[in-house]
Amino acid sequence: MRTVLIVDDHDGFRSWAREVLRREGFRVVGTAEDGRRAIDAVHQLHPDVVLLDVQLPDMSGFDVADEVGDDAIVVLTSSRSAADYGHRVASSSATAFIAKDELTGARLYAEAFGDRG
Amino acid sequence: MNRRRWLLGAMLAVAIAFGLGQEAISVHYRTPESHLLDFLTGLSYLIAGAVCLDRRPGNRIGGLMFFAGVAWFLPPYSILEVAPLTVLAQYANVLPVCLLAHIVLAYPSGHLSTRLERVFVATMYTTMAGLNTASLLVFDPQSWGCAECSAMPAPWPDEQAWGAVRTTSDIVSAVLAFGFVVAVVMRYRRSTVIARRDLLPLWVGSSMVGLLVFLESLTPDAPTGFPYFLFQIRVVLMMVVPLVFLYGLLAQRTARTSMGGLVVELDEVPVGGDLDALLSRALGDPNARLIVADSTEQVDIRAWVADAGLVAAESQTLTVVERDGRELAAIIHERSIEPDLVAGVATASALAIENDYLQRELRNQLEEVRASRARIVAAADEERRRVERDLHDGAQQRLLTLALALRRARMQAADGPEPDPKLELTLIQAGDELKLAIDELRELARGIHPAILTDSGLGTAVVALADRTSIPVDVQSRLDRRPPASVEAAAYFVVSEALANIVKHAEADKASIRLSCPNGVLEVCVIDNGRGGATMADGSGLHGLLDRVAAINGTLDIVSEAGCGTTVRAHLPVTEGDAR
Repeated sequence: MRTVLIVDDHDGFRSWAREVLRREGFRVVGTAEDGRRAIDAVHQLHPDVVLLDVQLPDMSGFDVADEVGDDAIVVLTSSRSAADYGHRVASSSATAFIAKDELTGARLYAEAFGDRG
Repeated sequence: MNRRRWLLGAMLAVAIAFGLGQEAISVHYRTPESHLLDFLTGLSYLIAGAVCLDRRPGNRIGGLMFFAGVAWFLPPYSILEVAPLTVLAQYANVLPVCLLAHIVLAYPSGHLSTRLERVFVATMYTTMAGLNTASLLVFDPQSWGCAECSAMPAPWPDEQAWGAVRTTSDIVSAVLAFGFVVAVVMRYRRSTVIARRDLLPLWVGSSMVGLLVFLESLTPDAPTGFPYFLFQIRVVLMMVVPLVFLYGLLAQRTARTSMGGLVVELDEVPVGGDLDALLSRALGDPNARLIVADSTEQVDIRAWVADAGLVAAESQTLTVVERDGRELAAIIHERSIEPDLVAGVATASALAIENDYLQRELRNQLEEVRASRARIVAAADEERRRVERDLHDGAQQRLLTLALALRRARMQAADGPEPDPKLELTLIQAGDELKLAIDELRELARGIHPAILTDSGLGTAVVALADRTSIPVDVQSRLDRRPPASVEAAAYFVVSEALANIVKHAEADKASIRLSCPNGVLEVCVIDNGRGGATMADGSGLHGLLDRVAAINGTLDIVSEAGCGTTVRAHLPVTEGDAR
């Protein structure tokens, strides 16, 4: 079972995502509410995937993704659409982007692992 | 022509008739002299005097000169043997020379400026009057046997006494003539450069007259030979002196005529520019200066200039430039410059200064309007950013939360002991509607103010814009740092509007966007290969952006020949230090 770390500053989204992803085949190893805690959690928990909100209180999701680097697969998420970020998504260290209202376990799995699952 | 001029003309006509009369008498009695030269000399004084009276009624020079002309014509009337004329003619013999000396020393103000000059002129008139009176008392040539001489009945005829009077008169004339030349030299020495330049011909001419009078006094009277030659030269010089006066008056008229040119030149030079050079030219004073009050408020410019010690030389004075009772400036100039000329220059300067004040006020108001417009646009941009943030943090988040709740409800419905397909379908339909609402809200927020522009800058925002356009758009951004928010917003909306037009109207299959910032000006260029023929005024939406671009002192233009595509180009100044 793939492990996931959920990073978002909204409690409601974190609990909802935890429930959805657990139901749809992921093991949620932890959550974080800001970028610094997220990076620490990646180094401690070694998740397979980090579901990372773009807008965090202390730093942007793009910067967190760059710091995580190859330590985990990063999938960005936001209440905005990918179009609102232009080529910043493509040029970042993140593997993919999923709008929050489109998040499902299957979609995350597909974006993160593709056919490798 | 006003009444004063009519009177002056009548006086001149009478005086000329008087002169012609004396010439007729001279010709009739075969007086040995050049009648034409004699008449022209008297006439030159009459005309110069009349012009001077016309131009400067308050100045004594005109009256003195006119009087000299009349006196010049008087002596030959003594031949008529009419007692009063004979007496007057006796006094008039030397009066023109005395008046000439008075005029030269009093020119141009009409007043004798030093005590020495006043004493000299008074002595001259007094001694000459005294000697002529003495002559009238003893001179009676018929009584001592001159049958062909005019009748000059004297109360105490005495040839010996008359000889003494003549000798005394020659000595006094020589002394006075020498004194006059000395007075002129002293006047020259204490004069300014400008006065020397303007009055030198007069001083030289009159000094030569003085020297000739001096020489005549030392030589015996004779109607021929060297004494007569000296007399003729003196007459010619005496004729020239009024012409020099006339030249001076006409030169001032020329200076006044050039005042129009001065007004034009003053209008072209901003206050604070090289106004001193213009004034120097107009006044003929190389040291002339225009001191303009710093403030448009009422100031005591005399006190101000005095405090600053700006009137440096003794020969300089100050003329206040006023307009509607308000002191605007001061002209520092040589005292000897004609007051009329200075007044003209002051009036022209007042116009120029007031015009400059008005222009400055207008510029300040325009600048304030520009700044105000820029502030309004910046405030509107900030408000758009705030609305976008509020939409994102408020309505968008709530809709998202609702969407997630619906998803959770769907899961719960699906996981329940008795699945309800209708409920599940309803929840799916509600979820789809909600997703549409969220998408529309995102689009709305993006249109109000794209978050990517705030977060990532113009280049990234324009690439995102290009990515969402339905035709291939090549973006080349050469921005090494972020322009100010207002400039970024204006540039973004120009690109956004241009791309919208391309998609709607241009029938283009590709477009390109160039962003660069050479020399502190952000250049935005959107080019397509469509049908062209677009204009700014065809409701393209670009027209609406003109105000936004102009508010930050930018320009927006469109080049769109039919069949040759369209180029929309904006130039937006980026103030140094504003760039981010």
